[in-house]
Amino acid sequence: MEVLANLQLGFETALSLNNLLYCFIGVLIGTAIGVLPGLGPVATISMLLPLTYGLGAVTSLIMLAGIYYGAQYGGSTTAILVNIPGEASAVITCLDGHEMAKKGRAGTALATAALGSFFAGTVGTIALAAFAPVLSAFALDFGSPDYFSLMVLGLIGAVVLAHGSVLKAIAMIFTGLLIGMVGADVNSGVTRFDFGIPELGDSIDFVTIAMGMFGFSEIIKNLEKTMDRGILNTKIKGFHLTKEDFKRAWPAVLRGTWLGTFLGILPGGGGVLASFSSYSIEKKSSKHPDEFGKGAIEGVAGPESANNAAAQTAFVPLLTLGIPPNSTMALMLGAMLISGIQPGPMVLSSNPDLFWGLVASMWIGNVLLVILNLPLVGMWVKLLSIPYRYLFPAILVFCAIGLYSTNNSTFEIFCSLIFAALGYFFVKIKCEPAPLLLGFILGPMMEEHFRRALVLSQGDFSVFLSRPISLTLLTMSAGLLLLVVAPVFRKTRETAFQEED
Amino acid sequence: MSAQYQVVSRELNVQINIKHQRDFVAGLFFLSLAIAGGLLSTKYKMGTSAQMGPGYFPLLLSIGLGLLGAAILIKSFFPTREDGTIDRFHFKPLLTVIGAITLFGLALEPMGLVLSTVLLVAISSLGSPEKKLAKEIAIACVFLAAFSWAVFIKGLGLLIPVWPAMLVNGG
Repeated sequence: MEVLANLQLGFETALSLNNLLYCFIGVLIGTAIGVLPGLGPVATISMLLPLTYGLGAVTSLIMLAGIYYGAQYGGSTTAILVNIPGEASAVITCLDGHEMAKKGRAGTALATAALGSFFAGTVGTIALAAFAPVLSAFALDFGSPDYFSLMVLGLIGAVVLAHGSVLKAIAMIFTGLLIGMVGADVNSGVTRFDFGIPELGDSIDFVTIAMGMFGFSEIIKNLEKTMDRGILNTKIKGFHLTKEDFKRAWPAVLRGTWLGTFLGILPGGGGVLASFSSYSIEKKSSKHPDEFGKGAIEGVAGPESANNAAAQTAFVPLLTLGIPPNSTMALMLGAMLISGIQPGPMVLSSNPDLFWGLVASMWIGNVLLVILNLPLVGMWVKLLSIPYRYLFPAILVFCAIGLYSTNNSTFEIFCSLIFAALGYFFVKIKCEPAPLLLGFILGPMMEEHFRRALVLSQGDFSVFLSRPISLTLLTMSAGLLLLVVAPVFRKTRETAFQEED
Repeated sequence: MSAQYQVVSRELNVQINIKHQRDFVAGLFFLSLAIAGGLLSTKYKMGTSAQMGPGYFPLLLSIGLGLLGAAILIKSFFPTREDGTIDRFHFKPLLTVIGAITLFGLALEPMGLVLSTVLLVAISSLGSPEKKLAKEIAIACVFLAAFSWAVFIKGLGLLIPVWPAMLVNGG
């Protein structure tokens, strides 16, 4: 019954007035940015990160996590009501959710999404509480070669399961790893790639990169053309499901939840992949596949549950192995490092209040989200009527002040602009910036483990293949890469991500 | 006649050879980054695999990136089903956003938060493709300056100068 005692500690931590308040602020901001297109969780979290330095690790992570899963909720609201996915993982919800809204069943669609998400979030949280200790215990046996191979697997996984060209994504990882080399070398103390600029001596702040590539360059891209947002004038009413709705939605919620729970744990997993897979499974297994795209309730229930479950379990690799499976988690890892917490299997024993507090806060956050989203949906829709020309200068101001406050210096602002221009260039040549950020954050850790592994093996590279754990991880990485090259998988991967563009 | 033929074929060559513009540019970018990284790495001590110097891992990364870049570059010469043309660069939003933030950075310490915020909002607003009214922009400037003062200075207690230094010091 250790789990119960742990959960008790978790709820005690999460229910402290301060943490509850920041959890609420987190999900509130999360819902808001989820509703607003053109501002994602990565940009928001990097914008707010510098401001959470003073809060303490537990509180700040609770709030940042709230932003992350809150954005998933908000994203589906806009998808259903206005046919605009506020967040990438809500793309698929547009298909049937908005069709339901057009038929006057917006209330039902919203209720399905919220309740499905709540159920999935609860299961995801339980899965996190159950899996993490097991995985942590297992990871305690990991040596440096194993860690290096694990990071390889994490990075490859992030690429294979994401969309776009695999070759370019791997090149982006390498670019990130290389940028991660800027700064002092831990072993020799030599400053590398600083171009004589003293500020580069203590390496580039990941907030600077994230803000430039996800904040600024996103805004530049959005300003290319006028954002057209249809405003919904109809009153939304009737948040109830008929017996028939319930009978159809329930199995989809269950399937979506399991799928999302599983996919979230995988490196590179997370909401987008989970919701796409769930949709295609629902469509294939449905007795009336012709209704999909015309307002089938399963098409909302399944994907919505899947992406929310995945959002919760994506914390598993971060909290147990210290490996972030996606760019939002990479920012969370940065937040932990700033607070002086070394992410990895030790977190569970060294900071149990952090781990269990975060787990409990996620469940509480899910409750708050249902309350925030169903009765208050009208307020969120109003938010959509703010024109982008008011919104983006505000985002710019917050980003710029946030950058300044990371080090109380304007250097970060100017440095970030270089990444903004670079990010815009990457948009034009269709290179996703997320793998770069992952590579950047993992770079120094990878080098450290790589060097340590080879010191121990006295320079023998076969150490990565002779240890069973490392060998397994590397074999899995190679297998994943082969999968992408294999024509069958390649085709499914292409179709799976087709609808997103 | 033969000269004319050559020009045509050269033009045709160019058109046929680069099948995928985006990949061509991406490949070039990664390749040049790798070369620069590799050259810079060699300035640091290499060491041996058992006792790596600061240059060892970056050099490995550069070699990896170079191979990937070359692969992407070579691939761009082969036919593909995908449309590889590069989207137009929109310089207006790019330059307004970058310019506005540069000015903000330059102005923040000497002129303080309030004036630099006004500067940032006013200039960046010009980058929007939507119609712009001077009155609207002015309201946004005042509102955001007041808002960021309230949130960042009063609320979060950040140490950012609020007003120009010479005014505060009494001039």
